[in-house]
Formats: sequence, structure tokens, C-alpha cells
Amino acid sequence: MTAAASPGRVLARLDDELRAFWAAAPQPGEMPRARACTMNLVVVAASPALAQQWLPVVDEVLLGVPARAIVVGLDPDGADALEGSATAVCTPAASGGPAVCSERVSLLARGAVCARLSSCVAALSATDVPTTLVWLGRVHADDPAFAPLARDATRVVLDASLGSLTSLAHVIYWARARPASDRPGVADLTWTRVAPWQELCARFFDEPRTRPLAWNVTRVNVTQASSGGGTLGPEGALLLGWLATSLGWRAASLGGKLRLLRAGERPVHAQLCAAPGRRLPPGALAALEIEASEGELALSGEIRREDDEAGGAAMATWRLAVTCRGQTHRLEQRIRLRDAESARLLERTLHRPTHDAALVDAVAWADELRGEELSCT
Amino acid sequence: MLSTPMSKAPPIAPNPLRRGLVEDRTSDACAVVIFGASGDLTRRKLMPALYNLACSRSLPGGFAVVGVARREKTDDSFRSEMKEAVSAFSRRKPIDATLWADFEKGLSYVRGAADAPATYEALRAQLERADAERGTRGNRLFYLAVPPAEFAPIVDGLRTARLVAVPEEERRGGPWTRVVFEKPFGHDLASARALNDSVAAAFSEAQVFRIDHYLGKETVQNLLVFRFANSLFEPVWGREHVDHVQITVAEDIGVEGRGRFYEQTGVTRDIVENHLMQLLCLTAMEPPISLAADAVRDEKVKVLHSLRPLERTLVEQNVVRGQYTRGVVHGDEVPSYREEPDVSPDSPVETYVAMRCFVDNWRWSGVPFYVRAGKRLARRVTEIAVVFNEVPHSLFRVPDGGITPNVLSVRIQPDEGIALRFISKEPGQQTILRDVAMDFRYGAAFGSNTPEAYERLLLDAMRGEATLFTRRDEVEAQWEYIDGVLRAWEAEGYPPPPLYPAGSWGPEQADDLLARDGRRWRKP
Repeated sequence: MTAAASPGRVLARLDDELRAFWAAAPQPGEMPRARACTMNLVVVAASPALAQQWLPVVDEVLLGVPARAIVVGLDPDGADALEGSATAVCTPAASGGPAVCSERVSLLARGAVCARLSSCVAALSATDVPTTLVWLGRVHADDPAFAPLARDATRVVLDASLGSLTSLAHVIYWARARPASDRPGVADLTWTRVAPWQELCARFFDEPRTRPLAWNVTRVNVTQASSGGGTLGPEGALLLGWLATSLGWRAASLGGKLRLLRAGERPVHAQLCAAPGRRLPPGALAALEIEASEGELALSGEIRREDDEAGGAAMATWRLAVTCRGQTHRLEQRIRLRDAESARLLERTLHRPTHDAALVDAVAWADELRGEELSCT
Repeated sequence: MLSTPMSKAPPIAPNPLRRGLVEDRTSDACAVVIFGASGDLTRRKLMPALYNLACSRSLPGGFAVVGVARREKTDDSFRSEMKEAVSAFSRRKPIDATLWADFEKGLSYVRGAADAPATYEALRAQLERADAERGTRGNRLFYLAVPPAEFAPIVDGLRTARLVAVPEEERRGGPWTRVVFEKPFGHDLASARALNDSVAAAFSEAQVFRIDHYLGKETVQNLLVFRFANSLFEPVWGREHVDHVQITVAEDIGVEGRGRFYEQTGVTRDIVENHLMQLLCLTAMEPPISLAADAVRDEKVKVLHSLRPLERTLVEQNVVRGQYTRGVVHGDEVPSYREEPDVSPDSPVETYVAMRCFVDNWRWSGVPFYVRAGKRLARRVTEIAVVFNEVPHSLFRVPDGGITPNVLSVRIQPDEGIALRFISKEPGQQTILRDVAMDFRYGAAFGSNTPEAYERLLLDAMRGEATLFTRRDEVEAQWEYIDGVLRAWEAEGYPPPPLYPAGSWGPEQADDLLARDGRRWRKP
């Protein structure tokens, strides 16, 4: 980072640095470089330290999604200043062609500059490509650092685990209020993290014989990494919200206690369990158990996450037991969740459709549960 | 499993939890049965593809692979061989020991010959075990990774052993059966028809998946996206603006120990009849009404039916074949085709073919499609190049008398991508024109770790999605076109193929084919 200067000067210098990458022909022996850019990837972190943590993550994402990345750390309590540096992130070509390079700008916005951030980002953005805003931290749709950036973006990516489900809901409602032609898609890293759980959960009901049981779920147990007494975290809430909206459950109250009701007003017993002492981030999903039955057919499914291996991707065991007329068939499969690798998570999020109705529905449903009693036992 | 009386029960409702799941494609529970489990294709492509599907969570909870081949093997030795193969050929390295341990539990082996009824009895028992222990639910994908001569006995064996479910059962939520055939599908039109008849006696067309692995390549699929998702190109995609099209499938390798096979096929049957015809179809086809399998395949068949037939007299004018002699490829001396193992010393088999084709329809009338394929050429490259008309009048002085036309080239392999060549002014006081290229590289824009063609195609077959597979009438139309060429070559008095040195771009006669039209081959 350079010493503080006026934002305009900093931006002019960064612009010169970006041009300089491409102005000169490669020196003899130097690998030729080609620039690739499919989007502006603007990553705004709630603190300078978080932005630093995300630099290697963004660099890794750029290997798969060439973009002009602008990574910003916010320090709203600091003295007004903008600092920045620019670099190229290159992938050597596999077959002797030029190295493919993305540009990455790193900014630190302090004090009042935070409120003028969108002007700084606009000056550095590549033209004619869409912009994705990744916001890492709590957010409110009226935040002057957030709102103008979000208005210019094609897609806004949040992380409910870093912010909150309420933040995510606010941004979704804000986006929905915008004209359709100018409405950014809203994505969420926690939602992407939950996606493998959704897919594994759907597998319980893939067999035509057990498919009708999806409408006859009697029990759901969600286990999350937390000590007893905690409340349902964003991962569990989104998974439960997705199940509820996909299967037509509604939340009701009986004597002040939360009840989930499926079709025919029949209850779904939902329980939140705590898994203390696990090597998992607080609130991370640790297990899901589901039971369903109709007549002589009963299904019991379980997805149980193992503790992360050192340096490895999380493993989960998927189990299904189907009982019919006293006979039980069991299936078991082990799979890699790969939900804890930030770069992979962001890349997968960028590859998802811009508008995701299932996320909107799940968030709306889960947001209604705020303050309701579904706490860890 | 077979032929239960049909009821009129409605199709089963979809899984509500699958609605809106966008990220992961997975299939129904099923057993994949690989005939030819000892072969190279299984080791190099199929098993690594299945393993990679397991890594990407695309395999269902109930899954098994049954290998079938003649060699004596136990389940354990088969697993161990497959582990070695996956370690060597998977795009993901090193092998994930934890995942492999789970994956290999589903692998088993049945020893037997294609024409022995006992093979199918043993297979039935193994599949029933897989249903009970692995939850494969009676769904079977039979993959015939065997020489074409074994297709008919295997189809017959499956039918006789009643291992084929009727499609009606699937509609009612019962088990499904699908069969995948590797190319070449037939040896000529008559044999392709006979084979199709024999397949149709056991399977309905909806159960048949004829694989052309080129269609599983990302760039080939991208051709449809490129043509029909960009409004810029479609208006200039036709006779008004296109001078000609060149399609090249060039290999730098020889027959690589497959001399016996190649003596029976030659490059025309091995490459032109399938890969090259498919690339031509995708280039020339009209927009389909949807991406549904039959909508796309209908349009491809229309192109094949529009190809001007190559009768004997036309073959001489429009087709050049060749055979490689000794030469130098990438600095290494290499033997001639006739010196390869299992190749006759006076073999007339072609290792190169170049053709001038015409698609006689409204869009392409009068536009030649020059296609060529060959072995031991200067480099390995597959590309489609659309060469546009020259400008009608040149404002600029150019040293060699003309402005080179714009070329849009779609590179299928290697370095998959799309490049547009156009003319630009060199910086300076003078107006000097220079060819420049706008170059989009697939790997650069989207990362290089894209799935292999076989991963896509295997998963599509397991899911029953047939868009990227060839239909019966498509295969027969391809053969019908090629048959004219083959018949002409087989006729008495037809000259033997001219020779070309290995490491060149083919025989001189191929250059003449274009020179007669005032054009020349690209050197891609």
C-alpha cells in the first residue's frame, strides 16, 4: 500500500499501473501475457484485516473466472484516505500459449471515503462487462458504501454467516423493490454452502416409490456446530427454509411455541441439536436427519458431516433406510462436501444463475422464524 | 424385470426437492455395465470419468459398476486395476483415497464371452446383487466398449436373457434400461442398417445412445451457444457472406498399435463418417426449435439429407485420399503406414481424406465445405474455419494485391476457443494493413479444469438425455453419404491413394482440390 494521497491521485496512479501491464511487449525470455476479463469482481470486506484474508481467495478465483478484481477493505472509523495497489494474477498457459492474466486492485478506504467508494470503484472498473459485488460483513440496504455499489452491480453476493440472515433478507427486499430491468440478482455464500446438503437431501426422495413420502415428512433434526442453547444459525435456517418452501410447510404457533405444519395441518417435528466441540465454524451444519412415513412405507435419512481433515475438504456420510412391510433396505455413500473452501465457494456462486427464486423463498420463510423458539438442545 | 402387463397409470410426479436445484446434476440410482472392461477405453476414459463424477457428487446414492470381459479376474483384482487406471488417467490427481474406498465398493466383475449365454446369467445374478446391496433399483446402463463385431451378440444376449426393461415401465416409475454404443456404428450403410435392426429388436430408439465423444467436448457444445445465443453472427452465417468453410480433424499420431483395426476402417470410417460429419452438421444446421434431443437431431438430419450425393464421377473431382509414408513429426522420424504393425505391406487403406462437400439448401447453396482428416499430419488440431467473402472493393494499397478475408475459427482441440481474424492498420505514418486476431480461449475464460467429454456423456446417458448422441436416421444418413465415396474407391480401376510424407499437411492432390477453386487450405 502507498502513503495516503487524494483519492483522485491514487486512482490515477492505479489506472496508470493497470495500463502499464499491457503497454510493453514482453522482454526476451519473458512469457507473453494475454488479458482476460469476464466481469468486474468487486469484493468489499468489513475490515482491512478481512480484505487481506480474502486476497489469496480472490486470486484463486481469478484462475477460474478471469475478471478485473477490486478488493476493498473498509475502515470507516479511520482518517479520510484511500490507499491502493494493483497487480496482475497470471495463469501459465498449459500448452505453450501466453499466460492468461487478470488484474487485481487492492483498496483500503478509510473514513468518509467509504461513503464515496462507488465513485472510486467506477473509476477502476472495466467497461462492457457485468459487475458482481461481493459484500463480506453486515449490511444494510441504505448504507452509503453499499447502496450505490449494489445499484451498479448485476449481482450482489452476501454471506449470511458473516452478516446475518436479516441483512440478507433486507438486501433481497431492496432488490425486489427495484425496477425489473435494473434489478441485481442476490446470491449468498451460505446458500451455496448449503447446496450440497440440499442435493443430498433431495436424494432421499429420488426413488419413485419413496417420492410421495416427501409430502409426509414427520421429523427433521438439524444439528449445528454450537454449544447448547444457541439459536438456529444461517446454514440451518436456510436449509430448513428451503425444505419448508419446497414441501409446503408453514410455521405456526401453539401456546407461544413454534410448530411446523405440512399439508393437512399435520405436524413436522423440528428439532435443533447442538454439536459442541467439533472442528467446525460456529453455526455450521453438522448433521441433518429426516423421517417420513405413509402407510407401510417409512423412510429415515441422515447426512452427517465428519470433522474437516487437516487441509482437506469436508467429508459427509449419506445414509438412507427405507422400510416396507418390516423389511429395511439401507444405502450409504460418502461424499466430499467441499463447502469450506472459500475460493471454490465463491466460484460456484458466480456460476449459479443470477436470479434464484428458491433463495428468495427460503430467506423469506427463514426470516419469519426470527425470534421464534427453535434453539439448540 | 420384464414385460409386465401395462397399466394406464399416470407418469410419476417429479421429486419436489429437485425443483430449482441448479448446481448439481445427478442421475437416478443405476448400475453401469461395461462390456469390454479389460480394454483401453475403460481404463483411459470410462472409469476415470465415473470416478470424476463421484468426486463432483454427480453419482447417485445407489450406484454400481459391473465390468464384463473375457479375461479371468476377481472383483478385487478388477478394483485394483481400475484404481491404477484412475490414478494414471484421471484429470484429478492424486486419487482421493477416502472417496475411492467408497467408490470401489460398488465395482464388481463378471467374466464371460459376448456370445455365451452363461455370461448373461452371471451378469443377471450380479445385477440382482447390486440391486439388493447397492440400491441400484433395477436401472441399468449397458456400455458397449467393444469392437463393433461384438455389438450384435451382446444386444442379442441381453435380449435373450431378458435384461432389457420395456420403456413403458420407466414411464410408470419402473426401472429403465439404456445402452451406449461406441463408434464406429457399422462398417457401411448396409451394416449400419443391419446393426440398427438388430438393436431395434431389443431396444426402443429412446433407449439407444450412440456415442460420438466429440459431441461431449465443451467447444462443440459451445458452437450451438455461439451460433444461437449471439445475434451478431447468425445473420452473416450463410451464402451471402461466407465464401467457404474448412473443417480439419488432424492428428499427428499414427495408428498407435491399432493397425488391425485401421486396416478395416481407414480414416473415412474412423473419423469422417462420424466426427467430421457431426461438426459439419453443427456448423450448417438451422436453429432448432428447442434444445430437446429430437429437435436438435432433426436439424442435423436435414443437413445430412441436403448434402449433394457423391456419385462415382463426382468422387474423383471432390475427394482426395492419401496414405502417409515415412517422415518427420515434431522432429522424430516415424515409419510409413505400411510399416506399422499388423498393416499389410501393400495396404490401400487411406490415412488421409479431403473432401469438397456442398449443402444444397437455401442457406448454403454454392458454398463449398472443405473437410479433411488425417493421421501423421504436421500437428494435432481440430477446427472449423468459416472464411468470409472478401471486401467488394479495396480502398487500400496492399503489397500482394488483396485484403485477406475475415476468418472465424472455432478451435475444438487443443486450446479450445474461438478466434476472429480481421484487418487492422499498423501504427505509423503509413497505412499498412495487418491481420490480427481476436482470440477467445475457453480455458482462459473459464478455467482449465472442465469435465472430460466422457463425464458429460456418461452422465447424460444415465439421465436419459440424448441431445449429444446420434439417432438412428442420423447415423444412416451419414453412412449413406460416405457410402458413395467408399463404393467408388472399391470399384475396379480406381487409383490407389497417393502418398504423403508423415509430418506434412497431406498429399499435394488435396492442395489442388482447393487450388482449382482459387482457394487454399489453412495451416491451423
